[in-house]
Amino acid sequence: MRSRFRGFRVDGDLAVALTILAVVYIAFAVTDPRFFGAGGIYTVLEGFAFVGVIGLGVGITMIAGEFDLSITSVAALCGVFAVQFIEFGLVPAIALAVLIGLAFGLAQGAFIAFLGISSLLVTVGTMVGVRGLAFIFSGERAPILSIEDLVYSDAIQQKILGVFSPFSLITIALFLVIGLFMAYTRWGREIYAIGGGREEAISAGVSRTRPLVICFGVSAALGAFAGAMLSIKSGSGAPGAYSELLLVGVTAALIGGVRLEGGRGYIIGIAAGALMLRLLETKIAFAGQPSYIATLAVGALLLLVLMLQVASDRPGFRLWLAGMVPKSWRARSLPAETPTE
Amino acid sequence: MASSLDPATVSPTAPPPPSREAADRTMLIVRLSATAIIVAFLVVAHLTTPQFVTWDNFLSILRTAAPVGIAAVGLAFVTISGNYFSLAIEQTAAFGGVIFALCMVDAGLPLVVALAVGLAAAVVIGVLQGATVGLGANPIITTLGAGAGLYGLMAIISGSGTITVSTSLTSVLGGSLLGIPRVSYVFVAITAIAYVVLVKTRLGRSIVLVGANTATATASGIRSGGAVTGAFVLCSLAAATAGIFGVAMFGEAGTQQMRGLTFDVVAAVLVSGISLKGGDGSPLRAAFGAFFIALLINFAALHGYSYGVRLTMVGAAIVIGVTAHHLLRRIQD
Repeated sequence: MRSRFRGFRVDGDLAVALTILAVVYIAFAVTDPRFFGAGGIYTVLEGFAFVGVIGLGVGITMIAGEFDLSITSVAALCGVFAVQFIEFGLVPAIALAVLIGLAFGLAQGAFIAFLGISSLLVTVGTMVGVRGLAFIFSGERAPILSIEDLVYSDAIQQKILGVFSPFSLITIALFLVIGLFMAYTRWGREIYAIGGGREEAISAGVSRTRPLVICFGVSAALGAFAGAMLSIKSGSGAPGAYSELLLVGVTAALIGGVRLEGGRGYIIGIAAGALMLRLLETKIAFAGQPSYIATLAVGALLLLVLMLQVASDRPGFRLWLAGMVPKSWRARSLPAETPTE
Repeated sequence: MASSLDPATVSPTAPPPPSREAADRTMLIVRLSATAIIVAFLVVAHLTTPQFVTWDNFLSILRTAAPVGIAAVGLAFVTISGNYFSLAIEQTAAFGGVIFALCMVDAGLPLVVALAVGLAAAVVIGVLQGATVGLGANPIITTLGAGAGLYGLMAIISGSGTITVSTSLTSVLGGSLLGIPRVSYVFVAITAIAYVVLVKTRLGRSIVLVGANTATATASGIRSGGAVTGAFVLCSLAAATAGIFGVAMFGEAGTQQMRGLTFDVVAAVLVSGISLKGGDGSPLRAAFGAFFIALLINFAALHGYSYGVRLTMVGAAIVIGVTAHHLLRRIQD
């Protein structure tokens, strides 16, 4: 589903994701003017911050053809650490928590790469084990910020230009940096290569270990960052929390066009997916519905996106879809039906 | 192409399959080492924990092992079909329990009918997930989404509250027989039934063949989608059974009741040595895996370890078990 348009490669999945995002936003904003107001946009962006960060972490490991189930447990553990480290100041506390997450992720990536073992099986173990560590290091109860430290909580959610906060601005910066890293650096391209065709990439000289160590390190560091920010923002660490973020993170990445087979997906697509999810969840919250309605909606959406991806991989569905496309487009879209692998 | 997420992928550069004797030898090593680990654990537990080897504690271990074991025996079919594991175990269990409780309390149906309705709901859940995975969707992501969907549905149906089930209604399921909890008999019976289904029935053999090699199985006229759907139905049925017995034992049902069950059940299957590539394994192993996890939980409880220590132990058991099985298979190759 790729076509060349003035020299830019336009990915079909990405174009669809961005179009749907625009349509969803306009539809919501027309029916509910709060989505046009600065307050509404701020709410959506605050949610985008943590969904986007988790989606980015999960998405990068998915691009590498792997999966990181442990990311939300790392978020809980490092959230506990960030609250406990707050006496060193806001930035050092977050930086220390992220460093701990990064160190764990690098070690996990190295373990997976050197043993050549399935990341799914290792990370389901660390998902349980790190969750346990979060309970151990917090002494089984949520550490809370003292009254005077609550200024830090206000600091990371204060409004900038009406719609942004430090949290959402850092998230946008992370998307930019990681997007550029994945698209234009050798190490970033290696992650795509190893996800698209592992043995072929290794035969062509790509390192077997480096891409995996990088993507699991980045994933855990992002999990730690999200956990640290959310914990400080809410004023307390939460050893049992954030496990539901795996669902929204994976859904954001899949909506954004990241493929589970690995090797495909755009960082901007993940951002679009995260924004779309937060629009949906904000809409449900604005309508006064309880949070389990949002969980149900996201779960259903995940299954829908999954079915669409499976269907679009079937030749019959592609031909049917091609038949739906107006004739004037067909000349351009049909060559893309040739297998890309 | 050789993505580790795709269970059916066979790497083009994979070494030729090992000979029958080598495979048998490795399986012997796996079985012996697993037995050795359990025996060593029992000895250590006995030496460090005076009340470990007592009849009361044995009953307590049986009671812990039963729900985990029932669900793990069902999950074994999914693993053997080559689809790793399900992340929707606890939601399926809770869903079965909530439907069962609603039938008994709100609708006032007899016990047997309530059981049947709860299990029928599980069949629907299993068919939907199995068909999705059978069409080629990733099992982990499918069950992640299904778990969220089930949680939301359950909260809507039950008004996100707890349903209290009167003890006289449930004493039939929750009580003891000859001093042993009834749920333990059910665990043994379900393990036996599962073994027969896997070894003696057409569905069971299809699940093994599809797990071993989907392409070959399809070429031999087996509907791989049907086999995978069957595996997920069996998994859901077992999970819902565990959930219904949970309702009977606690006297109440709710969306959060089975919280943490997925961890224990997945751990039971992953440490049991059932091949995660599919096509090899037995429900008996999953039952032993559940027993081992129950031993760990019981050991932690007797020592007064916190919830965090218990979780960390289960997580470490998964990582060690998965790594050990991986290395053993690599040495064999």
